[in-house]
Amino acid sequence: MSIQLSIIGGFLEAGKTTFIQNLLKGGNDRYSSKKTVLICCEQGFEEYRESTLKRYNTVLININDIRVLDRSFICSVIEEHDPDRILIEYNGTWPIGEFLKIRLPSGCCISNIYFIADASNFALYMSNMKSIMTEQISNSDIVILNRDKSLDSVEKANIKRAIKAVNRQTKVIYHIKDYQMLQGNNKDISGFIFAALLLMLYLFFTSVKNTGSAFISIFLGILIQALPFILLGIFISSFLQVFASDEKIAKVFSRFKWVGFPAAVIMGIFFPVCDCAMAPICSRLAGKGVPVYYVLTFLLSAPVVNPVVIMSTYYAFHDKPEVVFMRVGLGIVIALMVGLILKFAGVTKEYAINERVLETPCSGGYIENLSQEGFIGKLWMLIRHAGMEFFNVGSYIVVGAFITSLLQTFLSRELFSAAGIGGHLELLIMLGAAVFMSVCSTSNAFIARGFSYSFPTHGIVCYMVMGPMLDLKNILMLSASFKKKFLIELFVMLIVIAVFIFSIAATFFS
Amino acid sequence: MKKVNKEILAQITILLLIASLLTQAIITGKIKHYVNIHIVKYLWFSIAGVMAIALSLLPSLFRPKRRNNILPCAILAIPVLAGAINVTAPVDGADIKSNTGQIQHEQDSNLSGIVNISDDEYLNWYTDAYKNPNKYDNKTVRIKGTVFRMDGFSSNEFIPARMSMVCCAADLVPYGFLCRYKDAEKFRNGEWVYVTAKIKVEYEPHMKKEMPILYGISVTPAQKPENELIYPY
Repeated sequence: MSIQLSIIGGFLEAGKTTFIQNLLKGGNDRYSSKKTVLICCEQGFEEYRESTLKRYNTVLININDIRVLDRSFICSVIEEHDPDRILIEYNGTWPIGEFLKIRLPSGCCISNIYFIADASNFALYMSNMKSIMTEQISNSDIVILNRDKSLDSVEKANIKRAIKAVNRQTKVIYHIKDYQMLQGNNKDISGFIFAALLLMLYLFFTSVKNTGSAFISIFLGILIQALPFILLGIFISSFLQVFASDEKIAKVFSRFKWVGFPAAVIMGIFFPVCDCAMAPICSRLAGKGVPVYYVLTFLLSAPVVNPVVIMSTYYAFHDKPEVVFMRVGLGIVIALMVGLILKFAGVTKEYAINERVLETPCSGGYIENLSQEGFIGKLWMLIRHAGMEFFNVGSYIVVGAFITSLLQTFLSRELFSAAGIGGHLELLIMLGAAVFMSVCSTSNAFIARGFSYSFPTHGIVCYMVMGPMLDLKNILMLSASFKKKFLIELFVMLIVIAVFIFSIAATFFS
Repeated sequence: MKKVNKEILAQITILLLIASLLTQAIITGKIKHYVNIHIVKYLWFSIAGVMAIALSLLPSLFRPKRRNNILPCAILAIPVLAGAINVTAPVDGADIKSNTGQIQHEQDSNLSGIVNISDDEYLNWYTDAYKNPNKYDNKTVRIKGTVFRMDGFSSNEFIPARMSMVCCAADLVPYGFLCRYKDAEKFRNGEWVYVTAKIKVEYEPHMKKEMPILYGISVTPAQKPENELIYPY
């Protein structure tokens, strides 16, 4: 006999009691003749009427201290009353995580955790009691919003988005009246799917390995060489998050008017890191309120003005120094063009960036209430934050590297060096190579040298310049914090600009 | 027993696996097949960073969460799985390596008037010959490389090349000059060979420029060098 346990959380006067009474009355046949224990941790404005409780075969237990609520308490309740379900009206100021720590007696499981909120003052609570509120939301299955009559559809959508930003898996429901008791869905089939997926990948890897193909080496090679740079990137990004206040950074940039663009280009010289490190840094800068057009100029020009990149290009093309100048010059031109277009198009932070970075302090949702006091506390916060970002960004780069290495292994380079391709097709092939085969901005010059026997100079420069900008794994990493729609527009814009610029360059070089 | 936060547990497991596989790869030297050896020193920092993150997660381990988002961990498990499969791969017999020096030594003493390019000198020799081909015109050299062929090679042509890695396994490029040898067909792609050849600077049809071309005097099978790859930077 299983006992269904539901938790109803939310602040005082949010409408929890009303909701529970609806639950008791609700036309759910399963419980109509069955016994309910209602544990009430908070006395609100509305009280339960004796008659209602009696009619629905319900026992009310009041508790006032979170320490009372433990395993032995639940056991004694079950022993004494032998209920079919337990409802807990949870105190809005107690973290739900405390309850989740309890090892429930066998046969007893949590079917649903509800969070009830008053929509009309949701924004107020969110700004004043953020940590307790995000804790409760992040642990809830269903969020129910009351008293939404005074809100228009935009406000409602904003609240919904803010909740989804904290907990993507939760259901958000308006109109308590229409709400039918949802049955708890505790079947976790995702575990089986993952196991099956990993088994498939295992078989895939072993079969690929036996054919002697370089797939695994390329896949791991890309990831291992990127790892130091990604870690550097997320640690810098977390440092900005924890130690630099939003106002300070945004202020520095708002002082520049047009000077911001050259400043963004020059800043790239002082970040001699691989392009993989740029995605988290730039997401953080944009989240901090630095205008998107400066951030993009910085992001796109950094791999071009990077001293290490310039050196490696020079080594690879020591017989053609003009290639180096073309790479740097055209790269800066393209970065500035994108920046200026974004400025004139009036692209705002809201348009370009996911709310996750915007509205919650941390991109991955809720971090426990860590003290940020003192240097040690901040340092701890920095590492914790870097960890969240690692898993956030890491999964994207793995997917990117997987696709890139698949294409590199099974579409041979000879395909790209097929002779007799003419005109604009060459440029498009080089752009394709930039998307799928741009290994790393510091080394793609050497791959480009391999192309140089069958492609004209402007095509090779196009590959080198556009590679770090269009690289699939970089774009995927950016999508962890930038909106997909914006990234697609950016991607298309970059391709159009590239075709335009390099077609002009071609006339100079032919 | 306390209740465990599964998401945090999965994260810590993944981080520790990443750190230990990387450490193992560095210690066994397998790492040099994946990335340029110069990156290894940064990888030590990465291992420290990964360990620090794992450590910072420990206090959260016993704070259960209602909804666990395991997806990022599952995705990061893919490279861990790939690494685990590849690390356990049988390593080439150690006896072959120990023989290498001996064979080379014996043959060195038998030859005179030939410039012998050792495994470690190959990179410098190649870059120098590439930049100043005339310096090597009409010289006779003895080099070791793997047999590499491209589309459009005639039956007597191959490149005795060393694979060069700038950054990682994705940018492997062969470094070597075209070699013409009458019995070239006898050698399979990827086979290690000693090539004793006379260098002539000629027009190279595949590269479309003047380059050193090796005219093979003798080609004999060779053992794999200790470092298979060369690292230009």
